[in-house]
Amino acid sequence: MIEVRKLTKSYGKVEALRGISLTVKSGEIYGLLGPNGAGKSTVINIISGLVQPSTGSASVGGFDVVSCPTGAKRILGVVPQQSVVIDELTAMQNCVFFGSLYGQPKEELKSRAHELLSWVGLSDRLREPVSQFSGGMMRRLTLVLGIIHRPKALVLDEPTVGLDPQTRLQILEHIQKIAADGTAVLLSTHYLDEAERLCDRVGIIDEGRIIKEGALRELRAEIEDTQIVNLRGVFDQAPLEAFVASVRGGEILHRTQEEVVVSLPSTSDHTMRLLEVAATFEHVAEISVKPPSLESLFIRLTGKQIRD
Amino acid sequence: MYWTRTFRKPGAIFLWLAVPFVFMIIYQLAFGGERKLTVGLAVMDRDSSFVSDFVCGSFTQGPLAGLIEVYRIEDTDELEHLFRREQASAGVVIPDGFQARVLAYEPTTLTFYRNPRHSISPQVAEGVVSGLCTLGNEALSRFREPMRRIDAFVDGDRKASADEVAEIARLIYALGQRGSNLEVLFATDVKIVGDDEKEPWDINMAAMFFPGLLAFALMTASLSVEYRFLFDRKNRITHRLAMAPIRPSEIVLQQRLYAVAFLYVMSAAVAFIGGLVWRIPANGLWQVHMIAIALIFFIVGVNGTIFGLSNSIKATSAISSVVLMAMMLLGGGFFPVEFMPKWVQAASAHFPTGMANIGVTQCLTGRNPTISIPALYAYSLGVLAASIVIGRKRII
Repeated sequence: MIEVRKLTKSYGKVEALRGISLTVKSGEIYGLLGPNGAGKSTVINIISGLVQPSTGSASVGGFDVVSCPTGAKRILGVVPQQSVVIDELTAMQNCVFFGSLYGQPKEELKSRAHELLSWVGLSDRLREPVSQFSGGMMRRLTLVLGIIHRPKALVLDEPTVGLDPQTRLQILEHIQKIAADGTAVLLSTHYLDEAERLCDRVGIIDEGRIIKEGALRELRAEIEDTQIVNLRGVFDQAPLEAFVASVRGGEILHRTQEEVVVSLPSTSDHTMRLLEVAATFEHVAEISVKPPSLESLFIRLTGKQIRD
Repeated sequence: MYWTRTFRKPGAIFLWLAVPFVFMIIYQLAFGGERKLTVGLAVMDRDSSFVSDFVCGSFTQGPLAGLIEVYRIEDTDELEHLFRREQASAGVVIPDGFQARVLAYEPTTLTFYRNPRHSISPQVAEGVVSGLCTLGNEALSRFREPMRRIDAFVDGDRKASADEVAEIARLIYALGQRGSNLEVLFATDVKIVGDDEKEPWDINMAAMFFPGLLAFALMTASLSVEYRFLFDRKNRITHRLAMAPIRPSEIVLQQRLYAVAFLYVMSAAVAFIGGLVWRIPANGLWQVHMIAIALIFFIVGVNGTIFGLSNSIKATSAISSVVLMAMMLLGGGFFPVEFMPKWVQAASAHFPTGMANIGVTQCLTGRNPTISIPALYAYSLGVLAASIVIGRKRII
């Protein structure tokens, strides 16, 4: 349903995207996972028709977003990163207005709005101006506005940023239901737990490239024998380097003056031995061991934390 | 959607609608209405003679009675006091020996003081005093001959014959009659007729001021509309619209169309109410209508261009305020351009807001507009087109 091929985008000398390709099938949730500035929003803006790609192509339901933007937009729903609602209008008026942009009849929109607003728990606030809504309510309304016209493909740009845990959970449940109805969902996020919970497939994006892509179980299999150990503090790194070099499959992923990130096989007692080495250091502020997860995969692939 | 949003917050609309009315009422209180202009004139009569009394009395005789209010004072302290209390706009001192000098045909001087706090009234008083002096000098020069003959008989040792007395009496009678004929002057209206005018021109003050004030209201209302569009852009509502299957140019066109329609409805409502309240004659309505539409296109175009070019609310606010003031100055928004310096008038005659104001004022006061309406439309549509192009680029 959503297809992106060798997409590049440059802003002057800055290359925001360097040849990204991905596909999202109907009923599938594809997670675009990456730190801030990795290029997730640029991909979404290109698919939404807000940004023109430098090279490559993107299409929705077979409609190219550059040559046939109206066709693509007609079957695409977008939930932007910020709550985009019209303050002066009520929730119902917002639904009818945004739905009418897609050529939907007013009566049908009203009935659909009733259904969706009730689904996200806003049925008792239909006639209230949106300016009186809380942040969480606005996010839920923004989600409704993205699907009011029954899109075949839905793009969500970090839909849960800044939300309280309860609202976040509600939004995630709604996204799962939307996909279950057969909608292709492209979800951009930097919350790994979100991706692990929702996504059928994940693409890890960093510095404008997808550095790893696959089904969640495939990616998990790749990292199930690995542990990531993170040491923070000021210490002599030479003994640590010597130890990692002595371990088969051991690797220093990232190193600064105050932080070292190490990948070790989790099948033996290497981690315990590393902790023994670290115990001889004078100033170690923090040691953390991460179990196999998307986050550890991300760190192994990029050498950095996803929120860096 | 834009209309619904506008009527959700109607307070601002009433504020915009009120602007021309508030200013017009202030103008009326300041320059028009039933209130008559009265100039306070302090007179210090140091001579206290028959002639000086005559001069003092002449300030309040005939048509001057309603214009000049005389305060008799004894010294300059009293004059200072009247100036400070804003009661007198000017003061005149009649010097000691005034009558003797006048009767001896010797030059004499009245000292005139202006109240430094006043601007127009002292000029009126000065005009009145100078005018009376001119008339007095003229009258005295005419009486010189009969007075010379009387002096000759008084100083000489010969008695005047009956014929000579009759001759002097005839001269004085004739002068008196001429003097009384001067009264006619006071009952004469001054009518200034332009080269191209054949009929008397009944000026309605509101017809002169109201169009400019309405233009000002339209400009401020237009700014409010543009701010809404800018906030929509800042809050990514415009982006959200662009994500829907609508062309960016359609979004911009809808915005411009709404801005034009909003200003049109507002101007029609304000003009209708203002016309009724101040009984503005409905002269040249068709032309006024055409000019008003062109002006609305221009205002929407200018403000749309400014707001389209800028991304910062602070910068936009500063630039749009400066442009608004310039448009107001050249458009005669607060004050008719006819009362402004020549160079402003010349600039105004070639600037759309000025052209519109001149054209509408001329139409409403029963004259043919001297501006070129096609040129006004060319300006306005050009600027409107620029705003659409710039606005389109801002969306994606």
